[in-house]
Amino acid sequence: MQIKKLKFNFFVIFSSLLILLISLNAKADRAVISNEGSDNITIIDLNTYEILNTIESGDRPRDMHYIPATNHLLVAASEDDTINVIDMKTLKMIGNLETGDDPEIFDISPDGKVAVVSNEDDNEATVIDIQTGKIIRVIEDVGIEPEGVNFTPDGKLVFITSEGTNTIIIIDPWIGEIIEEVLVGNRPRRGAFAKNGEEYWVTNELGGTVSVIDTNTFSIKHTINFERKGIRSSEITPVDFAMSNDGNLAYITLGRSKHVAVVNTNNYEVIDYILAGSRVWGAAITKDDKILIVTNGQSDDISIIDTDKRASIKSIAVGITPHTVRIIE
Amino acid sequence: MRIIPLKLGIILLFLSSINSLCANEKEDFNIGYYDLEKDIRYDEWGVHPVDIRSKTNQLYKRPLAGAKLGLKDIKPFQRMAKVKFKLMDMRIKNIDTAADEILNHIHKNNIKIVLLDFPASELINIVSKISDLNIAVINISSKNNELRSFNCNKNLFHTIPSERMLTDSLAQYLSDKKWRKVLILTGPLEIDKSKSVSFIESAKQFGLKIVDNRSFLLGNDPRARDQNDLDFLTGSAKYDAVYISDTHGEFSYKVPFATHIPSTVLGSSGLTPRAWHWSYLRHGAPQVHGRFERMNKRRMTEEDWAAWVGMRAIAEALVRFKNNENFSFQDAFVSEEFKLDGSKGPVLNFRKWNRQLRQPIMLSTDNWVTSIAPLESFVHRVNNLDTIGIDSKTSKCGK
Repeated sequence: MQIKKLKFNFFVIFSSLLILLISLNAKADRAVISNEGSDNITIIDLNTYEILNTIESGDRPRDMHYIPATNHLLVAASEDDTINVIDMKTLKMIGNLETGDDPEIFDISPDGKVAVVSNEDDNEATVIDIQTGKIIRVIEDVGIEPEGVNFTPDGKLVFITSEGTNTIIIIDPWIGEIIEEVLVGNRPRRGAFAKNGEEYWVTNELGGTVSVIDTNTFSIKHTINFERKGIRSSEITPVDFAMSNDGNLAYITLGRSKHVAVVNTNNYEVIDYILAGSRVWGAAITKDDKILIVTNGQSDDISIIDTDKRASIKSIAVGITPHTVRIIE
Repeated sequence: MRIIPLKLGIILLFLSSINSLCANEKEDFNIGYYDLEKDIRYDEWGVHPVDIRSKTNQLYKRPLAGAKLGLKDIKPFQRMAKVKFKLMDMRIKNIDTAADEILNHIHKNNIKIVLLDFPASELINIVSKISDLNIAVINISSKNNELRSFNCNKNLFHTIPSERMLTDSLAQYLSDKKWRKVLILTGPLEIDKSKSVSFIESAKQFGLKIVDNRSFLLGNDPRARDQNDLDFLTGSAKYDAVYISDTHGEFSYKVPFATHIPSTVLGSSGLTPRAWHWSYLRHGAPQVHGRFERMNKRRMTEEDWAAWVGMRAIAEALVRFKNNENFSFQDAFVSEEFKLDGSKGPVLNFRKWNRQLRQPIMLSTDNWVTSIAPLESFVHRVNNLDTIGIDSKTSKCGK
């Protein structure tokens, strides 16, 4: 009897453990994609590549950031002039942050307390307290159509790309002042820090290049060009980055050319080009650097790329005009 | 004794502070903008009769509004260009003295570059008169083909597309759709006739067949029914499309959905080729249009865009090339490195041979951009944007 009971208990414990493991596993690796044309967010299981959920967001969702400490996903809803706060456990919208007009791209300070957002129509950047959801200050005159926003890894400064003025504007968000301005190529879209913040990389969408800025001298240290047989230079329109976590590679989406460039961050050489979908732009990479996910703005799907094979292994149809992808691990 | 050095010190301090102020002061950079008071293009021609009486319609369509948005948009460039942009506009009352008045205005105000909003004949006269100044001139509104094919000037640049770029765009579209048989309806004005000639040249280049070229007249005269009645005008012929050239637009808006046989209408109404249309949603165009509309309370026209992008070209050239030895706008604009963002997709630059701005054309209805030319199926050995317009081989300019 006792043995039987023990066996039964063992079975119960074992099976519940198994279920727990599976559910943990399922929750662990997810990709979230904002679809700016259909006003929703697609959640994908990264083990099975199945769509787990599609949740509604505010109008025209674009940039997103995940805060692990609170398990919250912040989503810029441009046409609603707000940032939605979504609880990733319940998948419910639990609040909004004040942002000013038309928030497109934003970044979160390394301590997770403050967000800085670009307001494309007003030539402004807005600094927001995430906990209270209130605006702390607005920094004016950050160039025409400001887009990319990045906190320096030490959290002291913010770099903003200005599409209309072809410059990077460096601001101190804590006092609200413009520190410096650096001329780059045409229509700078996004930026990313490399080498522990020593370099700031910028995509020049119309110039078809990437400018590498030395963050100590605020000068351009290198310009990366892209050339591939069969692709016209006018089709090479770089937009977004995914920097590998080991620091060695930069994956750069090349828009209309339907390719993602793989660049060695140490010598700036373009190693390879990976075929993706139509107007490939948003990008994110897993912590182990094995899987790269890119959004294809014109074919309404995402490409899952195996970084060892440097090839797309699967494409998944999502909502209309997928914009940003983030990976939650 | 001790007071004097102190005073001297204060004076020195004062002088040095003035000095540093001057060093921070940016030098003025004056841009001249000239147009004509009696310009038939800005009359009420082609405006719907209801709109003329409407309190909600803005009849003021002068592209000076585009230049003003341009000025606002290039102000952030001042930090990098280290100049202060000023737009100095003057409206000419008497066409006979226009060139002299402009010349005086340029001298008096130290104007560095000029935007002109004039019809072709007046434009070329003014440009040749101020040519000795060696000042760059940007044409923002005349689409005249001759200014791009033989009647060129080394200082004259065009941001508005040529008529040929527009008719080539339509021809590409028709060819792509395989709607190859076209009936032409030509208006009574000289400019209407030259538009139809441009379309005929485009049709030849892209393999379309012109079924007939008929002249229309405005009015209800029963004796001229063959020219003013649409059933007669578009009857007894087989075609896929009707091209209509009607610069003032008073006849053409009646043509769509009213042809004798089912067909697409293009040109002055129906599907119209334009440098810019407010309904375009991509490439940052809605942001530009939004800024314009908030500023001027009306839609942004293609001439507004040409003036706006002309201002942007000035700022772009200064920021990138000002420090070059012997800087001139004429050299900067045609440089390989000159890249202009017109919020229409590809990067824009000027053709070396006739100084025309390369650009995509929006084939638009009243409220939608149906297609963008050049169409994907037309490729050029150097630059696909050169599949539309007067190519280096046919232009006599720059030779």
